[in-house]
Amino acid sequence: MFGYLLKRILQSLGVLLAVSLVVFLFLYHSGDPVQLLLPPDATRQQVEELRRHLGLDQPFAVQYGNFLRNALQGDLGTSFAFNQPAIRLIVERAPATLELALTAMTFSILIGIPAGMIAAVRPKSWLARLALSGSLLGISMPVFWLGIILILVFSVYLGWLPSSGRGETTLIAGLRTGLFTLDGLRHLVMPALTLAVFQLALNIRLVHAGMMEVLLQDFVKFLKAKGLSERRIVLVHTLKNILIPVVTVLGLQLGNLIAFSVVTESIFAWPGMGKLAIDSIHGLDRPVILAYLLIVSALFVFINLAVDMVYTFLDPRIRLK
Amino acid sequence: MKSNGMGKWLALGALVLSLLSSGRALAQSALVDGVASEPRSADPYFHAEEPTNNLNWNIYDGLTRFDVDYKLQPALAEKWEAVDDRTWVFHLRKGVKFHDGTPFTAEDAKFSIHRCGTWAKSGYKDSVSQIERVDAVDPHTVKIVTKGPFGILPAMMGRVMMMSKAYVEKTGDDAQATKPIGTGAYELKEWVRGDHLTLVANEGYFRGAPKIKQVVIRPLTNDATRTAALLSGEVQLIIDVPVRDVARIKAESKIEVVSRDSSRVIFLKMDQAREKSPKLESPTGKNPFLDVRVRRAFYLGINEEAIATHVMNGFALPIGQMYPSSIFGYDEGLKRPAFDPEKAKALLKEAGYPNGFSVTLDSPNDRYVNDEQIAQAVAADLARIGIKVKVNAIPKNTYFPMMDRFESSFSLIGWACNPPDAIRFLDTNAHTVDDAKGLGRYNYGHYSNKKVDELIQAASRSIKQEERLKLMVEAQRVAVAEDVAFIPLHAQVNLHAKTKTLIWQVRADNYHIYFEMDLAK
Repeated sequence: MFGYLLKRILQSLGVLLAVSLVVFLFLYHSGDPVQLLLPPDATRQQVEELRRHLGLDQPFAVQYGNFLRNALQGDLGTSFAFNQPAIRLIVERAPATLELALTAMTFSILIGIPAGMIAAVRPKSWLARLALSGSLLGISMPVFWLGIILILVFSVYLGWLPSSGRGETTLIAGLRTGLFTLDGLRHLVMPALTLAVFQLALNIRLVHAGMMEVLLQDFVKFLKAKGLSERRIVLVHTLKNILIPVVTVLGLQLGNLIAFSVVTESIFAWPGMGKLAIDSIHGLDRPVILAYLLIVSALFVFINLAVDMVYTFLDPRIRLK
Repeated sequence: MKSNGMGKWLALGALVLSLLSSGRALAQSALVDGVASEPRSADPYFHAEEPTNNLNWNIYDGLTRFDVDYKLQPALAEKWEAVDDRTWVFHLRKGVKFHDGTPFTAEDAKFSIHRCGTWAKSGYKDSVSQIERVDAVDPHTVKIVTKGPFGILPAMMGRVMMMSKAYVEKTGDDAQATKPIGTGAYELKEWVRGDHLTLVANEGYFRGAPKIKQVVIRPLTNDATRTAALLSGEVQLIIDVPVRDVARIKAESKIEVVSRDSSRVIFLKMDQAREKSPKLESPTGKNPFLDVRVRRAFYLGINEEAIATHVMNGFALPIGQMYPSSIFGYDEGLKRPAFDPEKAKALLKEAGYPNGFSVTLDSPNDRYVNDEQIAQAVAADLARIGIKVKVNAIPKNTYFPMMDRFESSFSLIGWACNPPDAIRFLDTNAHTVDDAKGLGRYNYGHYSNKKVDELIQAASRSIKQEERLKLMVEAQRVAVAEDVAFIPLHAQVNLHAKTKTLIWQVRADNYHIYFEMDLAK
């Protein structure tokens, strides 16, 4: 187990190194941030001065070398646009994104798994039909469209929910969260739902398909013959057998929720790191883009590792080597 | 598990029910302003970009300021005069205090101008680059000596915000980004990045206590979100209303769209220096833009009225010069010639291009309002006089570096004079390229006319405003009317939307200066 972990961590570092090189290469060739940082009437001399100051006049290898050296000391650079450490900017924004992604995840599990099970066990009920047709809609709907429609209905026409921002937040152990104020929760509902819809729909379909398959297997018939209650068969024995694909997808999707909250965050002006990333891309704020992509890649790698570990608990036959 | 799901739904329902009661109590004495982009720093010298200036110009003051019509007014300096053509004396207002209660003095002014020009990260160095020396004569008198005669110094001082020497020295350069101390109408109380900034009124402000006691600035970068926030009453004012939302807002009874011509003019540049231009193919193999008849034919062949009506939905002001009437240097007599494709064709024939030629029109696609569509419309108009125009619309991040390398033959660009003086355009766009002197930095067409250069230099040297006006008017006449060095299209119109209870006159410079606003009870 320990050797396996070590190997995985070394692999992860390799992945991060590759990501940093690719991103750095792209950023190096994507326009000139200095042009965007100076007023339009700045002289050429000022442009050169700033370029030197930011180290952008150096050749690629030197710039990348400097970046790596600083990165090893935990410094991913200073934002051009905000003149603050890129890491600090992202860490400042991370709680908002995590709050949004985890709430969305919770929605998708609490609604998606039961709905998928009902759809499989009681295929003819109206609930099953609602769940299945709803899930099809959920998978096909573009996120930004859904977000705008929710805003139009609940904020503009009904005036029930605020359309944007995070509302009132409290500081809990140094982390800013809106989970403990009514205003914060009101702000959270629509973005979390918007972000959850795709995964919610996916969960329904995944659980439904898995259940349909498992319910036909011999061991289920045997359990029925043995006289077990349907509730026990479904909730314990069948569920266990379908959880492996579900956990895999949930794990991957947590990464997705965090990484692709970008769209939801910009629609709802949610002050998370996705919105920061988009703004930074518009402003060619290289250090922030780079730091964001590295942190998100690290998250993906970590989540994948965690998913592999969880397998061993769900199915003892799986050994990690 | 089922009951869990139900519980969640019940909780949601309860939430929804509790909403109506807790809704909109906040918005009474406070104003919430939805802006299109978050300010970058509260350090007033960091970046000269609009959203950042908008924040800082509410927190700080300059020695001078611009009023709603973009006219120069006294601010921290009560009055000023030119002693000789290089020396200016500013008489400071007495009794002005910073937010921390310390008095504003000549030493602060001296320190601020120095920091503006020397701080490594200053984006405002050009505002003070003509200043040779600043002396604090006494606590309320500042003497500024410029390197040469510099007529727009008082206007430049409207851009340089005054900081507290003692405070900056005590807290350091980096602290200014988030913890500003100014003399302005508002103090920065809270800044939650990406979410909001809260400003509170400075009751001791030297121009009087602000009427609105609290202002919350919320960056709503998505256009649709910004409009929705106004429609739902969460914000009372928004900037940069998307053209497509104007009709929707007009249909509401409690909110309205307010607009004003901006100082930004959209225009075309043509390569007037190279015998062979990189993105151009003509039957003669030469660069047709060297011939003024060709440039004039282009000018006459573009139907700007149609662009303003159809591409800009009426939110543009067709113009025949490089700056609108709010800019010092505007020329009442310089009109746009009427659209005349027949005459344009005749001119092309006369110049030796009866069958036209082909050229690429470079344009940004994310910098100005409908920039790419304007370029397309220009291409369509020119096709009718026989010119084959290929539009190359690219993001500003790659467009401007490309322009800087002079890789374009024909391009679309915009310019706003800030401070509102025509010299800002003439120096950078119409003067012959001279990197050593920092002139002609944006003269991407390499236009060069000795007479124009002399007029511009004379206008820069003079400190007599009437004389400067005459020189600048003459320079523009030669460059635009005689040489057709540029083809002006239109001035952009700035669109804001607000609740009708907000009393506010839109400024010519597009800024939201909260001191000038009031909320009706």
